[in-house]
Amino acid sequence: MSPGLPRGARRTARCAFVVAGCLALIANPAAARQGESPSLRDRVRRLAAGTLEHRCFTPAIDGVFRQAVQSGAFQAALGTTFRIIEASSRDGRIGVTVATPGGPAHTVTLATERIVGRTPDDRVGDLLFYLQPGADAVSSGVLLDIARVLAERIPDTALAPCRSREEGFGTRAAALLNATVAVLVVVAALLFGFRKLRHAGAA
Amino acid sequence: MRSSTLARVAPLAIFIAVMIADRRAATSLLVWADTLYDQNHVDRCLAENRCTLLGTQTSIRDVFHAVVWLNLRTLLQWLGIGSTGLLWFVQVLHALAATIVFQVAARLGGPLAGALAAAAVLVLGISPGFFLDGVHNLSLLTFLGAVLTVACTAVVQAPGIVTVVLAALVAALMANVHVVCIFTGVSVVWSALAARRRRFVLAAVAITVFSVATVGFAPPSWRQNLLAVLGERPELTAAAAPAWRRMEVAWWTLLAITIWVGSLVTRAPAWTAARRASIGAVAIVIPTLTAVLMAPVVGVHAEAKYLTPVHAACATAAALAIGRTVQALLGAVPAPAIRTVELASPFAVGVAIAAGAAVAVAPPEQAITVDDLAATAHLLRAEQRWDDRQIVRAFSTPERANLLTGVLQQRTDHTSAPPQTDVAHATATLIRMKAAELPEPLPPTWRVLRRSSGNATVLVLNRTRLDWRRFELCIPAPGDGPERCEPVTWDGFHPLHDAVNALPHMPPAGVRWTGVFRLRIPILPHAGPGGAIFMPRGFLCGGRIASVRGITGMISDDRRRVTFTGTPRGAAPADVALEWSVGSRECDLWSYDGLPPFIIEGEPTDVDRLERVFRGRELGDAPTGAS
Repeated sequence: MSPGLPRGARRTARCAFVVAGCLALIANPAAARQGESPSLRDRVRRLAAGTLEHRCFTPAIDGVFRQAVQSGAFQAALGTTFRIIEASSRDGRIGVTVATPGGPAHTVTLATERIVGRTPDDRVGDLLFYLQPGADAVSSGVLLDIARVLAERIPDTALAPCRSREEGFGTRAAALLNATVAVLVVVAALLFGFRKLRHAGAA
Repeated sequence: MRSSTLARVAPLAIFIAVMIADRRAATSLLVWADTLYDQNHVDRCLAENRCTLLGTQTSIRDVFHAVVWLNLRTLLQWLGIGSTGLLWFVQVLHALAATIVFQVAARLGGPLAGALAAAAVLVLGISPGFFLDGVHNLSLLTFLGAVLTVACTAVVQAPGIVTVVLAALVAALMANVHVVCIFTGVSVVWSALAARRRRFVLAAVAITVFSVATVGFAPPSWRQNLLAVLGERPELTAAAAPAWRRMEVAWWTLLAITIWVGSLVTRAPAWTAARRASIGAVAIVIPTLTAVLMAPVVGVHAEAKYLTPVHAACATAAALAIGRTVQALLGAVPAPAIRTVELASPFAVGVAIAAGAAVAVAPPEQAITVDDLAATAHLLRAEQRWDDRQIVRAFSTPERANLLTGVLQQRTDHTSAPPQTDVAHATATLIRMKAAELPEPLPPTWRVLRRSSGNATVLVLNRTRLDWRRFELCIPAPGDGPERCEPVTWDGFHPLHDAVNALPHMPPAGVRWTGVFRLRIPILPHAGPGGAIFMPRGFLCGGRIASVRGITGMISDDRRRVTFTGTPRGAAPADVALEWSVGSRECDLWSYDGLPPFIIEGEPTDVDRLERVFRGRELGDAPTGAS
């Protein structure tokens, strides 16, 4: 790089080289020349989809669960006192509810995405487990064991990009904080901008 | 009064003048679809702690925006600011925008340029392109555009890292209010490149901060937009339209650039300073203006209202150019005289604004306001003891989907009252009409909710002759195949939960469906004077009466009115079939909203009165008395 260039221009050029290098790696022009590679657009899209897209359970998850029940996979976790009384899946979540005869029911949720405002109780791979608040220690242990057994049996084919877009919600506090930051940005920009303009005018 | 005092008071004069003009234009929030759907998001966020991270759908399918706008509305409501306060908030921001551009232009080009920027161009010279009282995300952009004008001008005049960061943050914030503001990122980079030193570093900072902050304000929204852009070509929900009409911004910009380029013939310090002063404003206008003008070429719908974010910058650029030209032309005039004119100009312009500015596109005379809906909700819930279920089924009005959502959003303290036993047969029709169209004397079933400027909002409480609880939808098959019919109920219809509502099984609204559908609605047994149905046309989805079964009915020649006899209890089931052709001249794509289209039905005398009003509107000469 020419040392005669301004320092800012040299830095900008270096950044451009890094970005261009990344794009070149994604595009893999050598393979593209051989007609084996998808277009740059497709590569970027795949990269984006792999890292950005939400994943939801497909209807195949019902078969996975049914097969696990029929094969007795949950029996070791349930023991002789607990039994599964309900299981359901929707979008990116599975809920499994267990109870003892005459006892309260407790639920564990297996989620493909973090639930806003809650800390996962455990995880297997990308699947996060959330226990229903209020479950006692024994029930919690059973629920997490069931979740682990189920999570290990879920194949990639039972997951697909979500069709629903409204799965993303934040909390009230986050929204209010977001708005407050926006107000502060505006106020700061006005005060600072006018101060600079006054000084510029005076100069 | 000393000249320095006058100069200090001038911004206040501009602010007050614009506030007067805005309040003269609107004192009640207009019922606007976007306002109502935004309100659904706000209510859900505050009541259920479920705040959207995606925002609202743009006119390009699968592209979302406005998360920051929704969060700001949530903040306002959390602070206790309701619909009246929301209109005040928007009007204050509009007045502040005028004051800000006045201040910017006055500091850069003197009071004359300031007055021109604030008034002659921003308020008087550029039409907003939307109703000032129909509050939505664009309502915020005149103000934010003024803030960005300050920020970008500061970047050019006094470049520095902090200045650039703040400008980039404002641009990022704007991009999360409306997606068209994504081009303001280019404006900040342009302004940074205009700095006299370290321009490339500042530009890199601008790009980085804008990118990170834009995504940071609403990551899921931009993730969705990225996937939409990288995926299949986004499906356009609106036909591409030429964007040249009502684009005063383009002409003001052309004027500013012409003067800017023309001034290059001179290197006089005053002209050099004027050229440099307007770079920030021009940098804001050009990218967005170019994008909006080019949008139809790539099939994207574009309107003048999408230029709202650059109104302030355009006003500033034009006013600086005109102000400098006027100062040059008045060079021979004695300096004290010029000073007097300059000091007086903001006040003269202020008077002009307060007295005669048409600051908003005038809404139609029959437009309903949120105050109308509040009165309607109060009357139905508190007085008639209707619950939400009854309101959904039996509240009728030409803009049903929007107004139904608005009525349901209005909560009162009387919802716990037990419903009346015969409420299932009641119906309520809300219309806005000219006061001269009101019958004399006013029938007991007509309730005037509000009168303003020669118009009246009327709720007609009537007994329905149709059983809307369950009816049949039939869609003729193409060719000679049998038509497909299925029952329709109101179960599963939640106007407050979904952004776009359609009754389940009904054809979808929007531009996605055209064709004929028929509703077969049971006629309730009634031993009284019978009933009548009239099917209005005009700015709504008009249809025709297809048939009447099981009862003696007389259908008019134009098949828009039927009068039928009473049906004693125990008589054979009777029904009426009504037909609409979505996409036809009588029912265009925009007037069908996914619900059973508006009809007038009830006792024959009330139907007669309303029929005269609506037929009068169709002819364009409303009758002067509908008794």
